[in-house]
Amino acid sequence: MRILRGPLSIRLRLVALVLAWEAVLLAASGGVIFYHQKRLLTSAFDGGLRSNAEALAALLEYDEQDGAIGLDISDKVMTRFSRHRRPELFAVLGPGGELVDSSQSIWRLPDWVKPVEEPMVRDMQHDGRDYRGILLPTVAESDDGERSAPVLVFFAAHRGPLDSRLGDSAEYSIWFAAVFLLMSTGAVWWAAGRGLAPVARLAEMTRRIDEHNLGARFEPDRFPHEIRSLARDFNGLLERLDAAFERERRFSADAAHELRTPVASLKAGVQAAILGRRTMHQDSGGDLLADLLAETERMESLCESLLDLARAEKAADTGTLRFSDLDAEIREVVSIVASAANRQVAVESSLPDGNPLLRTTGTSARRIVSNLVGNALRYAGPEASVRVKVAASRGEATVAVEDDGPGIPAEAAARVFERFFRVDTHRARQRGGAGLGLSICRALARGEGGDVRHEPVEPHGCRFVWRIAAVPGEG
Amino acid sequence: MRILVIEDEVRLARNIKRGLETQPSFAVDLSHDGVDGEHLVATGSYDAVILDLMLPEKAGLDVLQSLRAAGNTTPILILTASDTKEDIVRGLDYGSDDYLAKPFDMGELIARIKALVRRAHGKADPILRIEDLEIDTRRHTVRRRGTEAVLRALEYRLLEYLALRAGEVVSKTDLLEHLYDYNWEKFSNVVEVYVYSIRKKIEAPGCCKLIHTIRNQGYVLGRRDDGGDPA
Repeated sequence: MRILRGPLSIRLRLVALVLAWEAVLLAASGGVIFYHQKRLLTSAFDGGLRSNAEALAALLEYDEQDGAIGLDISDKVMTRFSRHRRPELFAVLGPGGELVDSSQSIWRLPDWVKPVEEPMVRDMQHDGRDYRGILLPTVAESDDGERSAPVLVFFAAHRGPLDSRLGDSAEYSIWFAAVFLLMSTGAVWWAAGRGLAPVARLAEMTRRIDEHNLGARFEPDRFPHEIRSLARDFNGLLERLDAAFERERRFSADAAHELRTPVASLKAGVQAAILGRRTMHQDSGGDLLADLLAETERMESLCESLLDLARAEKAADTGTLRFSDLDAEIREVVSIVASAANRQVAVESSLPDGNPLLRTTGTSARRIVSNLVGNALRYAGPEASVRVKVAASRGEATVAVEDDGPGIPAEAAARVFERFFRVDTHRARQRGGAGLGLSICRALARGEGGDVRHEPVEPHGCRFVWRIAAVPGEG
Repeated sequence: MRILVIEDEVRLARNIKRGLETQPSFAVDLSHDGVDGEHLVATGSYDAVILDLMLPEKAGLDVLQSLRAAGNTTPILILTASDTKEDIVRGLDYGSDDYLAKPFDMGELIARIKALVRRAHGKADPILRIEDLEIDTRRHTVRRRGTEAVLRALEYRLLEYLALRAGEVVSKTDLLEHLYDYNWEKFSNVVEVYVYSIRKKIEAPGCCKLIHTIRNQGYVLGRRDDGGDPA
C-alpha cells in the first residue's frame, strides 16, 4: 500500500496513537469492571448457596433421647429435594462424620467435605460438571430447644448460571470496546482530516504554483498559527525563486536582444548581396564582406562573454595564490593591457607582513584585472591617469583600479554590475562592449569568496576594488 | 525616391542602405543619431524614414514626437530590436506609420517602404498608370501601350517619382533632392539629360507627349490638353 510506504501519514499516526491509548484505557477499565462484577456475581451466588444451606440446616431435627439427627424435607419449599429432582447436591453429616442424608445425585462426597469451624465455599467438579459448593457448620435443634453436637451441611449448585452471566458480561465488554474503538477510529480519522485541512490547503495551493505564477503568495493570516510560519517560509522561498527566475528571464531577453542587432545586420547585408547580384555596382563587395565579418566577430565575442559569464557563475574556487605571485600576475597583465592601448598604468603595491596565501588563481587575477584596467582606459578618457593599487590587510588582499576620469553617475553606479548594463549604451557598443565584463569579474570574485565593488573618487573618477579572501589559517 | 535610415549601429545602417539600393527606386542616406536624423528629416527631402528607437543624443520616440508635433508628415517606419506588443502600439501611437522588428527580412522592408510611399502619394495600385503608360513598381518595368521601355536605374527613379506626383509640377530642385543621396555631386543639368533620354524611350513617334516641361518651374507627367510644350 502506498500510504504505508515511507513514514506513516500524520492521519494514520494520530489514529494509531489514539487507538493504542484508548485500547490500554479500555483494557484496564474493563479488567477492573470485570473483576468487580465477578466478585459481585460470585458473592450473590455464594449468598444463594448459603441461604440454601441454611434452609437445609433449618430442617434438621434433633432427637435428644437417642441423639439422632434427621432431616425433614417434607417442607413444601424443599419437597423437590426429597424427590431429588433439584440439580443441586446436598449432604448432611452428623457430629461423628456419618452421613445423615444426601441427595441421591451424590454418590461420593468431595474430599474437602470435612468438619469446619467457619462456612467454606469452593469450586468443585461433579459428574464432569462445574459446581460450587458450601460447607456450613451448624447444629440441629430439638423441639425443646436442645442443641446437638456440630453438624455439617454441604450444599452445591451448578456454576452454569454464574459462568454464563460472567461470560455475558465479558462478551458485552468486548463488543462495547470493539464498537468504541471502531467509532473512535472514524472520529479520529475525521478529526485529523479536519485538523490537517489547512496543511492540505497549503499543499493544494503549492501544487498550483509553477514557473508561470511565481508572483503568487500565501496569506499567512489565513492559516492556523502552527503552519503560519511554514506559509511565511514558502512565501520567502517563492520570493527568492521569483527573483531568480525574473533575473534569468531578463538575462535571456537581454542576451537575445544583444544578438538581434548583429543578426539583423548580417541578414540585411546578405540579403542585400543576394538582391544586388545583378544591380550592385557602386559597392565593390569587399566592404560588404568586411562589415559582415565585423558583425560575425561581434557575435563571436558576445558568445564568448556569455560563456565566460556562465562559467564564472558556476565556478567554485579551486586554487590559491601567494600574494607575491598575485603581484607578479597583476604587473604582467597591466603592462600587456596598457601597452596594447598605448598608455601608461602605474602599479603600486604595499607588501604585507609575510606572504599570505589568497583564495584566487592566476587566471582569475588576469581576467579581472585586465577587465578593470581595460574599462578604465576605455571609459575614463585619453587624458585620465589610471593606477592599480595592490595591498593586503587583516588577512585579505585588495586590488584597486582607480582613474580620475569623469566617473560614473550615481544612478548608473548602482547598476554597473548588472549583466548587459552599459553606462553609455551607444558609446560602449561602438567600442565593442556587451556590458558583461563587470558581471564576469564579480561572478569570478564571488566564486572565490571575494567581491568586486565600485567606489566613487573625489573630486571625480572611479575606483573598482577587488577584494580577495585569504585562505583560513594563513597569515 | 529618397530614404533616410536613422540607425546608430553603423554596419547595420550600411547594410540596410545596401539592401535598399538594390532597388532602382531608392536613394539612401544614413544618420547615426537622433538629433542629426531629426534635422535631416525636417528638410523635407525624404520620401520615407527608417527609424531605430535606441538612438544616442535623442531617442527614436522623441524624434518621432517632435517631428509630428512640428507638422512633418514624412512616412516613418520604426525598425527596432523590441517586438513586444506594447512597444509596437506605442511606436504607432507616437505617430509612426509602420513597425518592423529586427532581425527583419530585406524584401519585407523594401515592400513596406514602397507601400508607405505609395500611400503617402495617395496611390493604392502598385502599378502606376498615367494615360497609356504603366510603371510596375514591383518589377521596375515601364510599358507604354504594351511595349516595354528599358530604362536605366536613375531614369526609372526619376520617372517613378514624377509618376507618384503625376499631374503636379515638380521642380528641378525637388527632383534633385528626391533622386540623389547627399554623396552625389548634384548638377542641375543631369535632370534635363535624363528627362531627354526618358522621353526618347517612352515617347515613340505617334504617341502623345507625357512629360511636359514648364519653363522655370519644372516638369509634369500626364496629358495636358493645351498639348503645348512651350519649350
